[in-house]
Amino acid sequence: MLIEPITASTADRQPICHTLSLRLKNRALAATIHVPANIDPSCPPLLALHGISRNAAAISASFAPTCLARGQVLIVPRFSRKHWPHFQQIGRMRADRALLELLATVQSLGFGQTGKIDLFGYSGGAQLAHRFAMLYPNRIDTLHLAAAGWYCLPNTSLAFPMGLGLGRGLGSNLTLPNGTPDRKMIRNQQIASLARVQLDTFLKLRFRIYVGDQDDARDPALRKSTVLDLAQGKSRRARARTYARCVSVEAQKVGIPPDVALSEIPGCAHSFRDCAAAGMTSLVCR
Amino acid sequence: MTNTFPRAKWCFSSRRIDPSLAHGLDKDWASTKPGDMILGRIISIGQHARIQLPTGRPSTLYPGDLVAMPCGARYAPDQFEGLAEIDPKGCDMLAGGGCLGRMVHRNARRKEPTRVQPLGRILDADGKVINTADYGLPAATSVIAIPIVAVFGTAMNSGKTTAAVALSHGLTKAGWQVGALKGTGTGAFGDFNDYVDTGAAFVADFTDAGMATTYMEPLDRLMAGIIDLVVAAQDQGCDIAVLEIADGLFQRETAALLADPAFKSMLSGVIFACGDALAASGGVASLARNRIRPLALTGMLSCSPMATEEARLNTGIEVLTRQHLLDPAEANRLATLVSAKMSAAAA
Repeated sequence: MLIEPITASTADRQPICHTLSLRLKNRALAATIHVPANIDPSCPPLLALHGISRNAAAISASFAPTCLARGQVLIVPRFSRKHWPHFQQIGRMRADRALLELLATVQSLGFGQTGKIDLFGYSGGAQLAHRFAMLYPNRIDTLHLAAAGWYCLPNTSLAFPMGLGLGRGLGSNLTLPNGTPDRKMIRNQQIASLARVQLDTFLKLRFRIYVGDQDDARDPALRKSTVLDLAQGKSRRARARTYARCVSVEAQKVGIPPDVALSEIPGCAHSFRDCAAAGMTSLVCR
Repeated sequence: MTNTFPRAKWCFSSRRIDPSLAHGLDKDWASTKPGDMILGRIISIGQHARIQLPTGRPSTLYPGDLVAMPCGARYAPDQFEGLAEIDPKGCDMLAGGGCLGRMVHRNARRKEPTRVQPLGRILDADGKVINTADYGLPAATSVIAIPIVAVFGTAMNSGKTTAAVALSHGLTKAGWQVGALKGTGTGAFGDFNDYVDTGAAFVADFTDAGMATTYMEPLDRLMAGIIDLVVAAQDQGCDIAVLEIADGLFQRETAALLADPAFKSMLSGVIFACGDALAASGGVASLARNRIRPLALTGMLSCSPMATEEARLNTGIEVLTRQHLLDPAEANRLATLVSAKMSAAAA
């Protein structure tokens, strides 16, 4: 692990920004930690995840001033393209473990208590954020999901990763036509099983969902399939609405009062910078 | 204070006792109780050629070495069975972590025990025999409020410690404050050090509850010790405990605990370590007679996909490998299950 101060403290009680480089087996993860001069212990650290453009710098620039002003530690990892080509998925590659290790390191270095965090993700980062929250709902205070391309719905109507169902195999036929184990299917069922057990805890979370009110384009980065389009909608905006509704319905089914709010950011398409400038940052840090 | 016996090697199972408290010796051997600290001199080296020190390192023993160990009984099918009795003419070193007594049975593959000439029971400045029981953690003053995942096994070396260690580490990585505890057994630093290495927030074993070993201890003493350990863990901020119970289900103290409704009511989940599918099937049936159904099977059998499948089909219980238990997501799932069970029981 390498720790490098980006800007050294020039006087006592000045905000400090650190970079961490964690090496996790054969993968590396970099992160920037913004530590306020006075940490507000009632304010959980904000872990903010970039999208597939991996523009962690934009995330830092947007959130740091507000976080530091309110005494909130800001943690912004950057998943490299080389080591984490599909960081937003939890399957063969375990970005969840990398985030846990990052949180443990931040706490062990004295940069705040990371037992409970606010978790924000934009686009691909929102995909990872809600999947992480399904596995570790006990670690989340508020879950902020912005403009995810698609979601893992918190019910068993669809097979994982679009939902928490078993899908093909139904727990018994987990082999490929050539007789070898279907490792991807096995892994998917394992992850779905882990999430299903914790579903009630997950549904009790505070969900804050954001999407640009013009984020309707079916751009190349958006995953498209007949099943997905039918189940979740054809655009990020439609899918955000579906997800917000689905979380509320599933919570109500098990007697949990849903705490879900969907904010459509005016005048914004699929752009983190535009959404941040149009008020999303202040909504997250409210 | 000066150390009255500066050359003596004090053992791991007496690590809570400050050697400088020793002021003298008596030879009232007839009054010896388990836990009484004995000063002895090594006569001959046998099975245990080294003594485990409180610092966590082993020290090679030589004839003539002075050692300070508690009197205790031991039950270890792959080594010795021994009783907490001190023969003034010579006694047996029953465990490397420190346990003096009289061997009554020896595994055929083991050497004769290391022999020790007892020189006296160690007294404090007030002339009182120093006993491990007087140096345990404070007796619990609050009730247990955290979930306990107990790890049982079919026998020694079935994979209990591996499972307890892996689960403690997985839970720690998932963000839990873990109390890694060993409820019964014979004092030794191997398991203890393994627990510490997991990063668990609190680590303790029955020696911290004042028992050098738990063999032949009455049930109420065992229970009090376990409660003291769990409450100490929660007082240190732990939100879950992983509790390993030594030896197999048929071992005297393990069987007594399993039959005890109060003990079972403390547990929020059980993981069962077994060597093979047949052992799994028999063990699950034995646990069922005590109204316990494990959350998962693990242990040596999980190394074999075939044995795993046999066990799963015969018991209907999932089998988790060490890698599963190390996975924070899997550990978190187990923690969620046991937390929910605890909440339901409290409701």
